[in-house]
Amino acid sequence: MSSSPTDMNVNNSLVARPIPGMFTRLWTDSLRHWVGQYSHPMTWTGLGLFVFLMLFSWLGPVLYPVSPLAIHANHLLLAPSWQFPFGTDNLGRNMLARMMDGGKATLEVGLLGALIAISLGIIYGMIAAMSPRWLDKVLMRLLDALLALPGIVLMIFFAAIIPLNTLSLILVLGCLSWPGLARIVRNEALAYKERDYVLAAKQFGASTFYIARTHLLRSMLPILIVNATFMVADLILALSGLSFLGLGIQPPHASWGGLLNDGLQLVIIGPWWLIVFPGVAIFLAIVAMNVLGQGLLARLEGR
Amino acid sequence: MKSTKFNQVLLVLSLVGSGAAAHAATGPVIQNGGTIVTVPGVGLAPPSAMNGFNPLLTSSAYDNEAENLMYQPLFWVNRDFKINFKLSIAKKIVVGPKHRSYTVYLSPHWKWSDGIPVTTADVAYTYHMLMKLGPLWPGWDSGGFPGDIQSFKVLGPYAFRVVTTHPVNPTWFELSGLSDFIPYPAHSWQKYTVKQMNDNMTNTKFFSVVDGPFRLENFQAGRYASMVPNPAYSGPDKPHISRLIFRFLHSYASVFFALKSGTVQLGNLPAPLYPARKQLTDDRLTITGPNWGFNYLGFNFSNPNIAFVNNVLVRQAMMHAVNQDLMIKVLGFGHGARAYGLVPGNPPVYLSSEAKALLKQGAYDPALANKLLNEAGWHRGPDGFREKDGHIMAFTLYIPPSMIRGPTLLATMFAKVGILVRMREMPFNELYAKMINPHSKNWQAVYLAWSQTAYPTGGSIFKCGGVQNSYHYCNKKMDAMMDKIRITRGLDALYKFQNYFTEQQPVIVLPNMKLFVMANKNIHGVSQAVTPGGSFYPQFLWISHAK
Amino acid sequence: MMRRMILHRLGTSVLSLFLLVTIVFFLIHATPGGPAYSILGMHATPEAVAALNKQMGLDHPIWQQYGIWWGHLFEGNLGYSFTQHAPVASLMGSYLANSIILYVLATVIAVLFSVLIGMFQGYWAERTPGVLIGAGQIIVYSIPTFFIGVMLILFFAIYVSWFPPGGIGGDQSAGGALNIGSYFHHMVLPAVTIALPLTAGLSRYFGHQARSEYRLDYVRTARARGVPPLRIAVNHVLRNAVRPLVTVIGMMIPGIFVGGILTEAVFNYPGLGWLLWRSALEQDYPTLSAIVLLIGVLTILGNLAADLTNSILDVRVRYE
Repeated sequence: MSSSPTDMNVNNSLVARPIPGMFTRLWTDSLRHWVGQYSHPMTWTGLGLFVFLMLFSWLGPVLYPVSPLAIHANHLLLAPSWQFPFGTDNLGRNMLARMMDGGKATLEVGLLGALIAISLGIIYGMIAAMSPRWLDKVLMRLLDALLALPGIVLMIFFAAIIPLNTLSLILVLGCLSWPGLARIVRNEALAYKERDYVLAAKQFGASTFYIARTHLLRSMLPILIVNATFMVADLILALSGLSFLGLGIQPPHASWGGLLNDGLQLVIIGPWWLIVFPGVAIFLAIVAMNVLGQGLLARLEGR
Repeated sequence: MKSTKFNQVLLVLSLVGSGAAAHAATGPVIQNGGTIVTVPGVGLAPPSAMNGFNPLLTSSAYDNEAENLMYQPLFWVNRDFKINFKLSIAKKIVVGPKHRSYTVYLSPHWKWSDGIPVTTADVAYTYHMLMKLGPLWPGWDSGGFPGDIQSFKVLGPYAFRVVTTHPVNPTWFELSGLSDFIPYPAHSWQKYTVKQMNDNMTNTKFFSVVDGPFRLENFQAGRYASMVPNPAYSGPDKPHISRLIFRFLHSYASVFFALKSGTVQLGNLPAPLYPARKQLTDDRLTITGPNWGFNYLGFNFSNPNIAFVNNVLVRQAMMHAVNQDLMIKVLGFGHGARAYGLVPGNPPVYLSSEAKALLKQGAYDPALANKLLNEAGWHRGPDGFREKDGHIMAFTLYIPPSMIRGPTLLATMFAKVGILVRMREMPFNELYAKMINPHSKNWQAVYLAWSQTAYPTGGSIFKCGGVQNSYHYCNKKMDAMMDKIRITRGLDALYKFQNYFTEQQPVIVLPNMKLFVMANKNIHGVSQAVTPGGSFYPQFLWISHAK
Repeated sequence: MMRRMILHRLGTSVLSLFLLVTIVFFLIHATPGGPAYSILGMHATPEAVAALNKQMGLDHPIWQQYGIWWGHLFEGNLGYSFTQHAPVASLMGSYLANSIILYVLATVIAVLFSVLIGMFQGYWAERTPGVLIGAGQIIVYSIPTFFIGVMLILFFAIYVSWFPPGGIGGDQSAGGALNIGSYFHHMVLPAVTIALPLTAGLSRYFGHQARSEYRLDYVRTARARGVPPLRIAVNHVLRNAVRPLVTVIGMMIPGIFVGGILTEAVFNYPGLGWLLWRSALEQDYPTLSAIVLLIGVLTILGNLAADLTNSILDVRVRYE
């Protein structure tokens, strides 16, 4: 007797039957479930705002293909006009083009840097949580040390040995930010580790790795995502601070923080367009991520 | 009677009138007193801090500013680079017939502030200390010290003799080598070891014995240094003000804010903020400079990745590709001067006639640049940049912080003729480390400025194997010319050398910007106080209390 | 039991500190370049650099330098800064004094306003004023520190002359006594600059705490009974919401330093943050090591204090 699933008792609705398109349905169903659960006006606002900024930075140059590096020596420090919608800087470069260029770098560093930080944080935190007590203690002490490290020292160290472009900044900022997340991951993992279903899985012979990946990670995913959004905001803020200290994206390429800093140096001359546009952009990016995070957090806390 | 009285009145009036006329000829009456708050580096550079006052141990231009006010130089060099013996410790130099023996006689009227006269004992102390410090002393091995010196002998309390190893150009030697023998207070310092001197770099008591117009009154790390007139100063041009304070600010925007709020009364207006100068309603603008130095683009000739710079045609093309007038317009708002050689033009006392002609005519010629590059075998590739044998004509340019606009302009101009320039900004010390460290040979190009000496030779920078030749530039013909300058008398050798230098462009010389000095409207004497040589003479400043 | 726990935590904190200092020491010495180039600048030649390195003791192998540094440390000698020509201890003394007062002032301002704002936010949670406060917090938190600093200078020091545009006070009367009034006058704007982002984050935290407190049964009972709102606020909610204060401040310390660096740079304020930045850029090893040591000690002490207070207050956490 062939034991194909269709031969099973068709009235037993507890048995799972393979249906064409089943997995896709599962996927979209759970996605819809998640979206429904976490939908909140703040979430959508933040997400929408951030997506708008991303479109500005990546789609913008396609619609407005002007070089951010071209110098127009006869059009220095011009206020916004038809020809230069965001004005020009003190080398006569088109600020709208520079803002799009800067947006790419800024948002890339924020998003990809956070991604690296989260990945490293998860790995380290999980290892610490799942390892024997003594190892956990040592790892946590090391973490304390890393958390107390003044990032500025590391930044200058890195600035000395590698060129500071988008890629290296992503790596460096990601590597500087993971300790905070690692601690959260480890604490959450410790809390969930003692839960009944985890202990049950262990009884059934599940490996540590499986438990970590399937159960713990899934349980702490919401918290992680919330922290991730705050991390993106922090990274964008950190990048603008670094630009102020001369350790951000190197000229002639731009980041919003760098553009803001350049504008602030000249503030007394009064070129508001050099300050307002980058300032507002940074502000919107950070606000977007903060609002997104707050929205998710609100739902998580059951509000 | 009436007429007599009338005549008397007329007489008095005419006397007063002539007196007034005489006064009008000499200007307003100089008043004494008052405090001026300024920043280090007025008329010279962006502000920074002073952090040491021992001239034997410091090399920063900001520290030197204060030191020059405390210790009178052996030779006081005026802005035309002639020695003013009234202000020098030396009163006369007698050069031997073979130009090997230099006998210097000191003016006996100079005294230290504790009453002890300035004598050759002090000069001997300085010589002894410089020889002891060796390479730790920043001026070592340049200007003929100690390489060209065969012997130093004290002849008496007011005379000493230096004999060189071979005949030298007297003007050059006096301005560059002999001028290092500044007398420092032997009786006050000789009891200290070098280590103790290092520990007392900012101790005002250590510097209490001076012979210059000012002495150090107070110093607070990171905040300010204050100086007051030296009451025992025995030279002419005694200071008029009663206190001079140097506040340590670190960004040029903060200088502007300080000028605006009156916290600082004398300072540089940073070039990018020139359009805001009208907002400083209490201040008057004095445009000074360009300073005695040159800006340049330097290459590492030993780096095989940029081998194309070894070809003089390529370097000449680069020179012709630079639109210096545009750079002056954008960076200096039109206030600046062209420069094509290593001899600065303000004052033009050392310029050859060819140099003067070239400065007048200009060298911007992109068509010629293109032609030269084609001649050198570098032709434009598909993306517009030149290539040859599979290599692209490109280099990475290291830039010091806050000097970004010049290189950006430069990169655009080079791109127009097909040269790709990548920029990398880094702090000064890192830049120097990359350039100078014998273990790091990877650097390609740097964008820097160089302060010229009072007698402008290529000296240690461009000679094969020169101590400061981190560019690994070596041209035997240029070496021979440089040697000739140091040996023969007169300016012909210098003219020949500078013409050859301009033709060869071992570094691509860039234009020099003027400096904008802002001073409170009631401060006078500013144009005397700042010189293109970068010296600061606050003894010429005075404050009028009624506006 | 308590004492053993404290000793245990202290021991592990020392371990963290040791790790921190070691990592930083090797990191900064591994950075190419060195202070010789900062000191000599344009006059640097290979011989001068070598001579200066020898004088600074930098020609020893790095392990030896490390040992020597610890040795000096136990003698109480923090080393000598060759770039600033002063013993590190005296440098740190003067810069630290400036910073401590500034940071303390900023923290006090931040905490005071945060508690106040948090209380209001808790009281009016989910109603319009609460939402507005929440929005304000996000907005202020999202503005870069240096931007706040420059705007404050522009509006309060340049357009009107209420405050000086930077620097530090109390020394214009050169050679005279410290002018306390001028000293604080110069500190106001920098302190506000540091305090603003701190307030935004801290007040949000207190807002949460206050909101939870207001929801507790006994509080709602008191309100229902008609106890005046102010007394409720002070006696019940405030007292409980403020309990984790020490913890929170302990966590904030690195943030204060980072904010301090940017603020001191903007205001030309000669403080520790600024000194850290300069010595990092100039590769002034002794000063840098000493500052990192100090910040590390403060941070780790702060964490320790936070953990200890936590465990004193919350019995559940004591198992560790």
